[in-house]
Amino acid sequence: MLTIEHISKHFGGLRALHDVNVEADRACVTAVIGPNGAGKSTLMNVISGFVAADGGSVGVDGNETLGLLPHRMCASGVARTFQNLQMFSDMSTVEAVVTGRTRHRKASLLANLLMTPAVRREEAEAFGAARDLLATMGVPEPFWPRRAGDLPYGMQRRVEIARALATEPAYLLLDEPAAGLNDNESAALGDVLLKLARQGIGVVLIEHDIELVMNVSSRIFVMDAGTVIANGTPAEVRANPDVVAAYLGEEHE
Amino acid sequence: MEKPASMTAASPTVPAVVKTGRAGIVLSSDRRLTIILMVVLPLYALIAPNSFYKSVLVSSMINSIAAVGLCLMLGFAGQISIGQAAFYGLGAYVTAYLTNHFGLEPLLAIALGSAAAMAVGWGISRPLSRLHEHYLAMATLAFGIVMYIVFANARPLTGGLDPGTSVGKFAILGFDLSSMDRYFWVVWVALGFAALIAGNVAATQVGRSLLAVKMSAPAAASVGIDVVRAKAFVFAIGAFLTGLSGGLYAYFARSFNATTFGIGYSIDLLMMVVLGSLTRVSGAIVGAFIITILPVLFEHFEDYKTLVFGITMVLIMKFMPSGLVEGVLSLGSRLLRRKDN
Repeated sequence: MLTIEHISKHFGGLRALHDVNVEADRACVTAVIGPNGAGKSTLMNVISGFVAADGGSVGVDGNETLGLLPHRMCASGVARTFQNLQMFSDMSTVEAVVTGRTRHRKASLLANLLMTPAVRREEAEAFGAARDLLATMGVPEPFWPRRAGDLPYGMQRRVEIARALATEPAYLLLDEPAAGLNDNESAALGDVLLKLARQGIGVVLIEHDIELVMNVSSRIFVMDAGTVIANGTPAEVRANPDVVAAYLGEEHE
Repeated sequence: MEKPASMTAASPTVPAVVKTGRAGIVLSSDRRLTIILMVVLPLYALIAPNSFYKSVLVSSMINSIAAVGLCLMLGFAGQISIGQAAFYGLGAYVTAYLTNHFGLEPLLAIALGSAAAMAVGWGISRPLSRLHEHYLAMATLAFGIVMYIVFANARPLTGGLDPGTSVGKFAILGFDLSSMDRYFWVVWVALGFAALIAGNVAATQVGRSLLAVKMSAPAAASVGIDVVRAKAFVFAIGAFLTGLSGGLYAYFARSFNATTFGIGYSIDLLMMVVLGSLTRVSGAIVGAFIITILPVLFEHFEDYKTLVFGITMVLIMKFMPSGLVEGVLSLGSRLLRRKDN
C-alpha cells in the first residue's frame, strides 16, 4: 500500500497542498483528478522526492520514504513519468528504456570501465529486458533502434512508461499519460494500465481524460485547491455534488 | 484538447532513416575510428621527416588525452568546463614536484599527478553540481583563473612564471625513454589507455547514465541514477585524464612555466572537443590534432595566422555544427547513397 498522509506544501504564500491523504493499493489503478492548479502534480513530485513537503508522511508498503531523494525513491519501488515528456531524446529508443535498469545493475564502476564479461552479460540482459518492455507497451520494433526524440509523441509516451517499468516498480505514478493522445491511443493506454495492474503494480494515475479515469480506476481521489474533496469508486465520485461543483463551478444546494 | 507542439512536429509518418548517435552501428564506428587512428599514428611517426614533425605529433597526442577527458565531461554529461588547464597544470606540477623533491620514478609521479588532479576534480564537483550551463561555465572559468594565479605565484612549489620548473629525462627503471622516438611510444600507450577507458564508458551504462543526466536530469533521477554522483564521477575522470596529459607534458617539455596553464589552454581544449565531435572519443582526438597542428601550419602566414585560424574555425562550425568527424561521416554516407541511386 502506498499511503500519503497529512501532506502539506506551501510555495511562499501559495498553499499548494493542505493535509492531503491518499491511498493506493497494489494491483489496481488509483486515480487522482481535479481541476488545473488543484495540486495533483505537486503531490506527485512530493511522493517521488522531487519536491520536499512541509510535513506529513509518505509510506511505501509500510516504510517511511518522505524526504528521500528521487533516485532513492526509485530504489524504494516508486517509478514515475512526467507531465511534460522527459525523454532521453538523443539515445536510441531501446537505450532510453535500458537506463531504467540502473538500479538492478550489480557490476561495479571499475568493472564497467574495464568492460568485464560480467558487464557485457549485464548489458545484454538489460537490452533484452528493455526490448520485452517495448513490445509489452506496443512500441513497434522498427522504432527501437531509432532516436527516441524522433518517435511520434504518443510512442514517446509509451517509451517513457516502458522506461519507468524497467525499474520494476511496486508503484507506478503516471502524470497525465493521456495528454496529447487521440481517442484510440487513449483507449489503448487504458488497456495497458489494466494489464499492469493485473501484474500486481499499483498504478497511480493523474489524468484529465475523465473517460479514461472512469474506465480503469478502482478508486478515485478528487482534489481541489490543494485538498482532497472526495474519494470513492468511479460511480460514487460521479454522483458527488462537491466534485461536480469543483469541475463545473456550479452552485449547488 | 490543446496538443503539445512536439506532436505536430513529429507526425507519425514513415520515418526517414535516422541513425542515432548511440545505436550499435555508430557507436562501434567510433571504436573503429579510434583504432584506425591508433594504428596510423605510429606509421606517421616512422615516416615523419624530422624531429620537429615528431614533436608536433607527440604534442597532439598529449592534447588528445586531455580532450578525451573533456569529451566525457562536456559531450556525454553536458558539464561544460572552461577550467581544464587547472587540472593540466596540477598534473604537470605534481609530477615535477614529486620527481624533483622525492626522486620518484617518473611513471609513478605521473600516476600520482593524475590522481591529484582527479581528487581536485572530484572535490570541486560537489559545489558545482547545482550549477548549469553558463553558470557552470563561469564557475569553472573562475576555478581555472584562481588555479592559474596559484601556479604563477606559488613560486617555491611551481617556480611561477620565472624561472619555472624543469624535470629530468623520462625513464622507466633507469631505461632512458626521453628521445622523441621513444617518448612517442610512452604517450601512445597513455592515449590508447585513455581511449580504451573512455570508449568503455561510452559503451556501458556508465556513459548512458551521463547522457541521461545531460538530456534530462529529472528523468535520470527518476530511473535511479544518482545525478550528483554521476557528475562527481565525470569531473573526476575528466580531471584524471587531463592531469595525465599534464604529467606527460611535463616530461615532453622538460622545462615550463605557469603561462602554459592559463585560460588559453582551457579554451583550446574546448575547441578541440567542439570541433572534433562531442559524443565521439575519436572525434576528440581528431579535434586535438587539428587545434594543435593548424597554428603550426599557418605559421607561414605570419601576421594573418590568427585570422586564417579563426576563419577556418568559423567555416567548420558553420558547415559541420556537430563536429568535423560527424560532418565528414555524414558527407561520406551522403555520397555513398548518391552512388547507389
